[in-house]
Amino acid sequence: MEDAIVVVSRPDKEKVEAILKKTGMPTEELKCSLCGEPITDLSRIRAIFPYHSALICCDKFECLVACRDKLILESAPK
Amino acid sequence: MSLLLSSLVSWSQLGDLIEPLKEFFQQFYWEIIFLILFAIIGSVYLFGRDRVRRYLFRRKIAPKVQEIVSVYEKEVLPDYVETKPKIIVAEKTQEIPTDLPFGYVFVPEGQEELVWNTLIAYIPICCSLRKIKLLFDETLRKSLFDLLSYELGLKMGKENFAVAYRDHGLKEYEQDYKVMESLYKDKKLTVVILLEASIRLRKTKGHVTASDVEEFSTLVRKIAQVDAIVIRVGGKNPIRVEEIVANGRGVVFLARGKNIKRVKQLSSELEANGFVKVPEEELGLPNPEEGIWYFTYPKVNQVPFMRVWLKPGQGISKER
Repeated sequence: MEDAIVVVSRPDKEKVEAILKKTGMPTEELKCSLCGEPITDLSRIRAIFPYHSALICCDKFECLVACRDKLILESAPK
Repeated sequence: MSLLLSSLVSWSQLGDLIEPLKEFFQQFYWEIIFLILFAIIGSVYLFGRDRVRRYLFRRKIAPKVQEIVSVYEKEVLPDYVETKPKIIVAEKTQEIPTDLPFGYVFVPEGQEELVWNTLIAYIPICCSLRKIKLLFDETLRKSLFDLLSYELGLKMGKENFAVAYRDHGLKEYEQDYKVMESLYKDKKLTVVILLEASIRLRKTKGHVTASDVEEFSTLVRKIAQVDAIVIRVGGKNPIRVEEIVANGRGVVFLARGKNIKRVKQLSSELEANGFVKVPEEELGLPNPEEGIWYFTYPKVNQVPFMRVWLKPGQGISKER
């Protein structure tokens, strides 16, 4: 059985940067992977998923769903 | 001798110092006590606050996650939860695990309530249908997870979050969302669709082709249109053949293990009452179907299962 580890954390600058570094994403300009808006206020970041290049999701419902859709389309047959 | 003399002098000097100190302590007794207390509290706060913050954060978040996973497993998608997420609460940067996890979820301080929306969206994809989902085409797959998030939101009492998923499903892929809704409502989703998907997935050994997806998705849409209620044989509630006949709808019996015998008996009783087995050509599935039900969680287990589709025969349909 696969393990599904979910890390829950406060959105501090240091932690977000460490996660981005781990997932190989640039840390200079943080922006939502779905809507493309810059996330200057870190309380607006909701999740980061390490798939291919990391998926960064902001607090908008549309982005939450779009991010989930990207995850469920993972390894779909072409 | 001189050494002894000098030490006596310093002792007398020390005595001169002690007297004013004593006076000082007597005069500022309470102030000193408060100062010491303040210093103790201050150092506890300074060195223990991280630990307290971490404890409070964990206390706020961990029960929420456990509760939502438990509701999902017991009430939303029983039998198909493959794993429970292991939650790591990382309050310090050093606590972030070195291996890449499924995901990182952020909870801003004072906004703990908002974590529900994130969990409602991601718990279904994190815990279940990791491989099975591959058999559904894109819109069915999205509809399936929209529906699961909607049901999970409702069961958690978070209606505001829940309806957003239903609205999203209805707006983006109305027909397929309705297909999933009807399958879930009639309990065909777990008993028929996901079971069938897991059987097919085993046959393909995980190599799902585009044709497999096309064929299975066609079947899903078709099954939703078949007017039948699903009855799991072996529960506490007794199954009354008269009620099924009076209801006039088709029926899907599902039994596992020793209850298979009872399904055969119920099917015979219904057939004696004018019901007929749904033809395999009409259904697109073997009928009756016997096979192995594979459990993956909480432990790997295999039991035989049987599923039979019956519908009211010509005579009954005319009477209605």
